[in-house]
Amino acid sequence: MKRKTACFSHVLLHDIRYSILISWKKYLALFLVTEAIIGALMVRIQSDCQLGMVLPPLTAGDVLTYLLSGAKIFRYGAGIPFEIPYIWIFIYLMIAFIVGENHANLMTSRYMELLLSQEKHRWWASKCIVTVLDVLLAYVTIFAAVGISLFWGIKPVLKISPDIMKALIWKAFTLKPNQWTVIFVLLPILTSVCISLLQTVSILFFKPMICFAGVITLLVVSLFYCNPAVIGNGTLPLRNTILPFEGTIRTLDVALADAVLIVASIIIGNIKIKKVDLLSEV
Amino acid sequence: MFTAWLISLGIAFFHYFTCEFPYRIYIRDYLDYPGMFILPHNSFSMWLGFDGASFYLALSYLVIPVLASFPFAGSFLQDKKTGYLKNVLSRATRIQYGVAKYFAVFISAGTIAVTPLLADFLLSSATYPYIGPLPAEGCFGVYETTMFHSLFYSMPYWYVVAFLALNFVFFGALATLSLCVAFSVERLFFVELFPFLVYFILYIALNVFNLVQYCPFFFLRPDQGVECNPVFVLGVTAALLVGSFLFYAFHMKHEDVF
Amino acid sequence: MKIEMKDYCKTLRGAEVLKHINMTFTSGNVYGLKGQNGCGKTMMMRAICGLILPTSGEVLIDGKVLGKDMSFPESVGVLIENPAFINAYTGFKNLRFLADIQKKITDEEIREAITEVGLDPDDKRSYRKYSLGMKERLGIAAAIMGTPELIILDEPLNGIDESGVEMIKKLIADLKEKSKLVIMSCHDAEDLYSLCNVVVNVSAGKIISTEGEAK
Repeated sequence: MKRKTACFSHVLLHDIRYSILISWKKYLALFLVTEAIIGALMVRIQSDCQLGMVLPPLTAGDVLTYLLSGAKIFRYGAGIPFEIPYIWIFIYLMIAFIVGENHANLMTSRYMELLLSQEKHRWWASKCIVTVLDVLLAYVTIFAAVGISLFWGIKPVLKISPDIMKALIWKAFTLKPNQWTVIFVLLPILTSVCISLLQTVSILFFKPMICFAGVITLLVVSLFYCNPAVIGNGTLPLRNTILPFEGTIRTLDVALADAVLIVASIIIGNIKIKKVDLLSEV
Repeated sequence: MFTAWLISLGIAFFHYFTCEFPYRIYIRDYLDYPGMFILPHNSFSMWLGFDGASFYLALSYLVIPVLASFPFAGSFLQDKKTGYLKNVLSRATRIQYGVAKYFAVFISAGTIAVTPLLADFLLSSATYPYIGPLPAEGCFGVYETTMFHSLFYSMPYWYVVAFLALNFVFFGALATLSLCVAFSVERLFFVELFPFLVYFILYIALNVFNLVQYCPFFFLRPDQGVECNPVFVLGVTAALLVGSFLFYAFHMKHEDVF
Repeated sequence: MKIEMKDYCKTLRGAEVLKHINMTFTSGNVYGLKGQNGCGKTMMMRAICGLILPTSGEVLIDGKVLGKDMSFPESVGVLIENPAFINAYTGFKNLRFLADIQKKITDEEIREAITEVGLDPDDKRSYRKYSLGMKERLGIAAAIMGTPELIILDEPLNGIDESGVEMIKKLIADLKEKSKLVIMSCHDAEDLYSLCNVVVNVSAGKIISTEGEAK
């Protein structure tokens, strides 16, 4: 048992190193674009102040809320055009791109790694863990970008300012720190892990490009339908019932849906990998 | 090619069956009550290209660059990696291979790009009557500051054709960027997704700097909704087409084949 | 080590690629698979590795059923088609990266494997700059590093120069002396018969005959 455990950690370490080797430039791109978005936000706040609006200094909480807020509930037929929040779609498509590229040749030329891993379920478990780590690292990158922006005069507190929220997200609101952490950080991370695992398991069945297109579809459909069964809603904190945006997404419903799908993806992947033929096509 | 084409056709069918087909019953109201004040649904107002209220149009314009690249965008890299390129070049000239490959990517990508709009337009034309669009309807997003506005209100079918042609050429040219990047990158997933990455980076960057009128995501849509200069749009499309072709041709001629 | 293929059949996309294969492989022997292109040699190798699963029949490795009692042979080195190496890494670094999955293989063993195939373990060139023959040699080095009990080599002499071919022949002979089980395929009949003590003739997914005797 001890020998097998040691072997699994080696497999995992190998996959983590491979993932970072392939993806570090993408994390850098994510970091730089996030910095650019924060810079544009600061310019916007400054110009709003110059136009006469009285706004308090930006806090790290304001910036993170702005980056991770997503979109409010969309009401079809109200004459409002359907719009995609560009920051939100950028973050989640970047994660999908990182996951997609890490696992793009999962079923083809990496057969030697599979053989050296000895057990298929061990190899698959390692892939799932690396997928989760990819998502976490993406969030760490975003937080790091916000952390760096503290040097530009942003206050290092997580408290959100109602006036800033009114200027940026059209409605003043405040949240307790634990509420904020749950709906802006923990729930989106859980949902993002769920989407990424679904993407990884679908790569076992379909081409990576089609899986990436599937993630885009899932995200866009989530924007349209405010329903916990459409799992992308977990990444849209403004739709949470805690906030005053007439959202109908309850944290528990989304968390439950995500948990079920995560477990299902892992099980389906495990079953598939045990039965699949590895024919190493280029 | 077939899978990507099927998916793009699926977008059109889903839009038709969820957003158009259920509302056909209201046409009868206009026949039964000729004195009604509001204009009836018509093939233009129900078309995917003008349905900015549902998610299908936005989804199309995000997914199309991915689907358009799917059939052949990575084929040049695969030919290089498998050694098939050496087999071909011993039987045909570089120019012949290069031109054939370029056109294959261009035409396949363009075809997949226009499929949702074209298929949906045919379906909506088969279901709803032709009633020329009127500015008073206010549901088209085509104003005096947008492209081809006079064409739209005078010859709407030509407007549709113009946008289909624009989409065909733009997405076809965009997909050929993967041929250009295949000279220096060997990861197939990245090469295939490169056109989408360029398109998406433009989308993000132009949103950040509040210059959405220059963003292909907006100016390629028939409903536009942003101020567009047709000279700029046609210029960008032509530049993309010519630029990618020249880059590809130059490297194809001079690149060593290993 | 003893590998038994018992009535192994494999159907892939409607085509029967392996038909009722019955064969035993034992350590201390070099088995050569001989046959035309597309006859099923590579498929047999994949079956023994566990990369494909049987439609019917089974592969037993020391009495354990492959695919049920174990996913893959415990100690195996494989070269089938083009393995994926990292273009930016040197040959040594690539093998080190792979070897780290099991943490059983030392740097010395990797250097020894690279030297045995005629490459320089201190070569600073990245894999991207390797010639076809060098890539093939690195693939063989990856298969033999750590001297696994079972070594499967699919056409290892492809693209390798004369001196390299002699080197690899010597390598295979050494492996046989060390009581390893080697299964290989080769199109050159002369090389095959000189290297292998058992030659298996494969045609249309079936074993037609075997020549030679296993120890």
